[in-house]
Amino acid sequence: MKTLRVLDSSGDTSISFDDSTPEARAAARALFDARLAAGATAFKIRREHGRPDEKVTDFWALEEETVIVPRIVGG
Amino acid sequence: MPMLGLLEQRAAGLLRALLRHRASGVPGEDGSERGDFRLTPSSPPERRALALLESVLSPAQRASFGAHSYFWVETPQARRFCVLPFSSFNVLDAGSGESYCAGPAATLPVADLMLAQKLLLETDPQRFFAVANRRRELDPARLPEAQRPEAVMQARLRTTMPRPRWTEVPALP
Repeated sequence: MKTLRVLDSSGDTSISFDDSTPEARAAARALFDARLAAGATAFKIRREHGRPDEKVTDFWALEEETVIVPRIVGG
Repeated sequence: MPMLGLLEQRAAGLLRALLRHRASGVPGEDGSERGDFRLTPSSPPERRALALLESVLSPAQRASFGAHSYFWVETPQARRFCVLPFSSFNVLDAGSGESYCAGPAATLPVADLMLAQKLLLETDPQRFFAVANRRRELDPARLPEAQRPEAVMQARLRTTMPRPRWTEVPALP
């Protein structure tokens, strides 16, 4: 299972999907691509072994957990 | 015409900052007089955002956040910034005394904003600084670097504390 967390006004909206199921994978990929096309940035979250988090733009490179941050603007 | 566009952009930025502030868990509301800056989530989104932030912070960042409500991040170029629990100008360069303001173009709890800033600064700081607004927050010559985040938080607290009306001040006995 992989998880996409999209930051929003509810805190975050979490979508978990089974990477081995083509339909679930396609739905998750559509969401991922749509968000990035809208200017969002995605990050692989790595909580173990002190590995740094990493920016990711390729759906196929996603790991267990990904946080998607909406488009960044100056405040 | 370009001037009008600039004004519109500025107004939109101010509106976003205001909306973020109104949607956020404002720090220290319950313990302001004691200088207690802890984020006090009062709604499910704020609680959810705080839990996510705490789960993503490194152990050192989590310890700092637990003790002071701010944490330090380091960019790939080894520049250090302090992320404060405020909804605007909350990324402090303690070395220069300047603070930066940039965040997601969405109404998010403060903890989500802090998480977004941490992830950006640690992995893609160019993206952050390309859009961030900057202002001078304090004079770095006046304080040791380690005390600067606390000084900024104290200053923000002074400016956000409600002033009592004269009718609320008890009369002398």
